[in-house]
Amino acid sequence: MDLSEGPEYERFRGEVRAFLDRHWQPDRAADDDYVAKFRRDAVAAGLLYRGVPESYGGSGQAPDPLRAQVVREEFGRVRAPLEVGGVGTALLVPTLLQWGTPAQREQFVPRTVTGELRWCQGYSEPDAGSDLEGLRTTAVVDGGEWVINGQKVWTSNSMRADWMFLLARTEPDQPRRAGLSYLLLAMHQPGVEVRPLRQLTGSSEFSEVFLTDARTPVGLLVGERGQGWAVSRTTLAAERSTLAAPETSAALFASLVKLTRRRERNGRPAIDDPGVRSRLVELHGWIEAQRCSALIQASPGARSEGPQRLALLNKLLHTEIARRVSEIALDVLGPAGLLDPRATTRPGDERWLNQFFGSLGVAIAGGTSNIQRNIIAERGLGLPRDAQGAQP
Amino acid sequence: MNFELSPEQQLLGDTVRGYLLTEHPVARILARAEAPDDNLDDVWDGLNALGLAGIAMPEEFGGLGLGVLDLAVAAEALGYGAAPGPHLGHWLASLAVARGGSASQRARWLPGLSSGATRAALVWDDAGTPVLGGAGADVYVVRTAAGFEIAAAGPAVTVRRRPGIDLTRPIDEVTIEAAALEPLPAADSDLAAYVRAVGHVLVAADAFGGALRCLDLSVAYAKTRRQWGQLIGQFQAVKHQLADLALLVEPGRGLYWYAAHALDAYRLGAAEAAALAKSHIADSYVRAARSAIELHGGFGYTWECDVHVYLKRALLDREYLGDPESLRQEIAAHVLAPA
Repeated sequence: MDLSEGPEYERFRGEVRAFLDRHWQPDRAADDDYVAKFRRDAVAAGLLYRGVPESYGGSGQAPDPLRAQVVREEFGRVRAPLEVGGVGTALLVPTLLQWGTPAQREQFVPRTVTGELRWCQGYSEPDAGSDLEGLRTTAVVDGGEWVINGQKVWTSNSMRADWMFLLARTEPDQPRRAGLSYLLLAMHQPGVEVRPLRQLTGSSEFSEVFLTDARTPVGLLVGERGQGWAVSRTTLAAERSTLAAPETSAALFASLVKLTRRRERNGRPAIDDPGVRSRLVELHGWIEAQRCSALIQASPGARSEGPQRLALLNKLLHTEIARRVSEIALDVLGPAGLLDPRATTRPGDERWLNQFFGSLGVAIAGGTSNIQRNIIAERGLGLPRDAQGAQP
Repeated sequence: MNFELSPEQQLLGDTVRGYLLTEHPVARILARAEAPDDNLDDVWDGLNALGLAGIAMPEEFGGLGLGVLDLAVAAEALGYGAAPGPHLGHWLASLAVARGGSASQRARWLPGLSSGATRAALVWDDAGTPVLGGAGADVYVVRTAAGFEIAAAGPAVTVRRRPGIDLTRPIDEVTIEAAALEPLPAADSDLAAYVRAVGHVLVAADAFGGALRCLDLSVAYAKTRRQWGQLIGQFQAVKHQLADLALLVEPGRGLYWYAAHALDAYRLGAAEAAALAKSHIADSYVRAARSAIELHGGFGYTWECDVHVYLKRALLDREYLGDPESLRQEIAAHVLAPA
C-alpha cells in the first residue's frame, strides 16, 4: 500500500499547474471562444479527452485514472473548464470508439468533443423504463434509410440536442433484447417532435420525443442489427461510473458544512448542535468509505473479485450519500425549505431544495436503485435470477 | 499509488481465515467456550504458530516487525472466523511495552509477548472498559494519566470474570495494587493516544471481517433455503435486503485500510481516521448482524445458527474503546473544521 503520488505523478501535477498558469485566465470563463481555444490547448497538452484518439479530436493517452484525477483536481482548483458535459461526451463517444465504424467516428466524435454537436439519449419509453428490453419503438429499412416510429420519454436535454442515440426494435421476430438495434438520429427533421415534460421541480429539463417516420441513413446503425443491447451496455456502464465520482461528494459535504455554519438552530449556528454534528460525521464516514473504495478501484489490482463487486455498489452508494445530504440539509434549512428556489434569480439557502429534489433524480436516472439491487444481488453476490429473469 | 494489500498481507489474511474456518468452526468454538474447563489454549497456540502474536513486535525480540495494517489484516481474519481469545488486548498491551518500555522491560517481556508464550492484557481505565482476556494473562499493562504502567500476574492482581455476552472474548475486571505497578518510562499520553488509535483500527477490522461473514453466511443461506418451491435467494425482497447488506458492509474495507495505513505512514489525521473507521464499521456491524439474523428466519433466532455469535461480537466491537456516537462527537471538531 502506497498512497503517495510518487515522483511520476508529482511531476505530472507540476506540468498541469504550469499549463494552467500559461493558458487559463479565470476572468475569461464566460468567453465561449476563449474557452473553446483553452480546451483545444488542453487536448494538445494531453490533458483532456485522454481516452479519445488524437485522430478524433482527443489526446490519445494511455488509461490512467490517477492522472485523470490529477487533471480534475488541478482544473477544479482554478475553476478551469474540463471536458464538455452531457451524454454525448460521457456516453456516446465511448460507445462509438468501441463499436462505431471509422466513418461514424469521423463524422461524430470530433464535433461532439468540442461541444458543437449536442446529444440526447433515446432509451426509455412510456412502457419500457427499468424493463428496457420491452421497448416498442420500431425501425425498418426503406431504401437507404431507417424509418423510425415510436415514443421516447424522460429524455434529458432533448430540447437542445442536435442528435439522439436510441434503441429501436429492428428484428420483430427476435425475442426482447435480441430484436434491438442502436441508431443515431438527427433531431432537426419533420418526423421528430419534442414535447417538454414538466419535472417535479417545476422546470423542464427532459421531454417526450415522438418519432413519426423519422429517418436516418442506414450507415448510422452502430454495431450489427440485433446488437443494440450490447452496444447500449457500454454507455450505461460509462454512465454509472461518471455518476459516482467521490469528488462530487466531498464538494457537496463541504457546502453542507458551510450551510450548517450559517443556518441557526435554537438561537445558535446549527453546526454547534450535537445532533447535527453527529449526523455530519456519520455522513463523512460514508463519504470516506466511498473515497477509499474509489482508491481500491483505481489501483493496479482492480480486476480482482473484490473491487469488481465494489464497482457494482458505486451507484447505490452515491444515491445513499445524496439522500443523507438532503436529509441533513432539509433539517437545517428550517422554514427556508418552504421557498421555491426558482422564484428568484438569486435564491438563498432554499437552493438546497435543488439538491433535495435532485437526490431523487440520482436514485432513478441511469438505473433505479431497485434495479441496482438486482444487479448487485445477481452479478455481485451470485444469487439466482428471479422468475422474470430480466436483469441486464 | 496503490491502495491494496501486498501479496504477503493477502496471504496472511487468507492463512488465518482458512486456519480458523477449517480447524475451529464457529459452532465448535461456541460449544467449547461454554464448557467450564476449556480455555481454548490450542486456538491461541495455533494462531501464534502462524506468527500472530508478534506481527508488530520488533524483530530483535522475535517479532515480525510489521505495521498496523498487517495487524489489521490479521484482525479482519479473526473477526471473519469469530476467533476466540485475547489477541486484541494482547496486541495493544504489547505495543505499549514495545514503545514505552525501558531496555530491561523490553528484554524481559517482548520475547514472550512476540511468541505468545506470555499473554498480555490491557487495562484501559477504571470506568468500565472491560479487560479482554484478563484471566489467564501473565502481564498487565495499565493506562494512567502519564502513560502506561506494567505489572506481572501475581497476588497483587485481582481478576473478576464478568458474565460477558460475547462468549468468544471473555471480559474481566482487573484491579492491581499500586505497589505492584512500575511505569513504562518512555510512555506518555501520546503513546496512549496511539495505542487507542491502533485499537480503533483493529476493532474496525474485526468488525469488518465479522460483518463480511454475516453477508457471506446470509448469501449462502439464500442459495440453499427453499420456500414456495424455490430458493429464497430468487425472491426480490431477499435479494434487495442482501444488496443493501453488501452496501452497508463492503465499502467499509477501504475505510479501515486507510486508517491503518495512515497510522503506519504517520499521516496527519490518522487518529481521527481510525476513530471514524471504528464508529462507522462497528455501527454497520451491529446492523449487518441484525439483518443477517432476519435473513435466516426462524433458524436465525436459534443458538445453532452461527450469526448470533457475530451479533454479540458486534456488541463488543461497538462498545470497546468508544461507542460510535461518542467517537463522532470526539472527532467532529476535526471533521468539520473549515478547509
